[in-house]
Amino acid sequence: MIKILVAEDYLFNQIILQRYFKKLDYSFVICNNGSDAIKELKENDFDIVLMDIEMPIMGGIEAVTYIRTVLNTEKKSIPILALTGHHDENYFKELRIIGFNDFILKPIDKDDLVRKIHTNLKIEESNKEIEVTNESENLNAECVINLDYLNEFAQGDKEFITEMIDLFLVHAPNFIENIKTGYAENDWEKLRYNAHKFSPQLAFFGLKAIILNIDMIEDYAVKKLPIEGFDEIINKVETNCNKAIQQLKEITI
Amino acid sequence: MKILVCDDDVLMLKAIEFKLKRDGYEVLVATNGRDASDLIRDDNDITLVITDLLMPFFNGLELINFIKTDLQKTIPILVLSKIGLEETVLKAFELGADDYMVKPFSPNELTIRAKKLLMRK
Repeated sequence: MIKILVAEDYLFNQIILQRYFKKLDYSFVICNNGSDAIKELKENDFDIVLMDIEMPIMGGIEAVTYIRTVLNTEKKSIPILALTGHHDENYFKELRIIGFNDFILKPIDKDDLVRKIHTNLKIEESNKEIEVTNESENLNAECVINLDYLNEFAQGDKEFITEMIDLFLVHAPNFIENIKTGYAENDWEKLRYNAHKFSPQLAFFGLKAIILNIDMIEDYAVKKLPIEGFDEIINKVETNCNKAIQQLKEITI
Repeated sequence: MKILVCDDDVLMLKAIEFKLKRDGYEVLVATNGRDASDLIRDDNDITLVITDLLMPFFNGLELINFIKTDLQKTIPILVLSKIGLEETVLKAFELGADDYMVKPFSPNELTIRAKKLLMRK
């Protein structure tokens, strides 16, 4: 079984990786910063490390420098893959000079993740059947999930977060449908009620750009005044919500 | 300490219930004002009511009025609503609400406000 050490402070990515690794039957430990990862690596054996760059207490660059220079011969040569949102060749060159073997781009794509892990562990792709999905396709800033607010309630309880995601996945499509039909039927009360109730749910997942549109819809439903471009706003909400739903579906176990 | 939370948004209800249970409280939940009013009428151990406003059937303002006027109960009531309009906030206080928070709210702030209301009682 492949043993993976992860240093990543962003909860959403922690949950995604946890979900993928369980599905792939990998053994893993997730740390919130580079310092904890070094401690874990000193005490236990791993096959590969996935390292975020920007983390509190100790970032990825400091951690990799430490691993490559201070740890014993066996541990210092472990493959380390950077988790980064920067899509820049010069940046990748710099990471390689620092000591990273490779990089995985965020938002994390399962196919890319598995391929990079296997390549760096020199495992043949055919050894494992991989279900290829392109969940990060067509993502934009307007529908990127952020679980920070939800985590203020959860305080790190991943089971509770998963339950909240499951509930959202049940209810969100109904809200979208009701907002669409409320608008199509000029049913201002239906439009208002559903926008009003949907907005706080979106807040749990940090979907600020969608909330702005939903609040606009509620505001106009209260005033019973359609505005120019209302069709476009409704369509935008639906498209972005569906993308967010797709991302959340990917992390439910 | 037993807290009743009333909200027709099941995600919100679950999040508040989770937080308050973590804080050590016993939590009852209701998804509409009618169920909440039945629970409050029949259970004298409820020490705090946290309610949303916009709900079908029996809304939050009607629930506050029912608790304070019809039942003549002195249980503290904290309103948690997305509506921050002055008119609505004043109406809630006039009817007998003891505190008011606008959604989305800080869960830690909710803990502190709930604790203060319970101490006052």
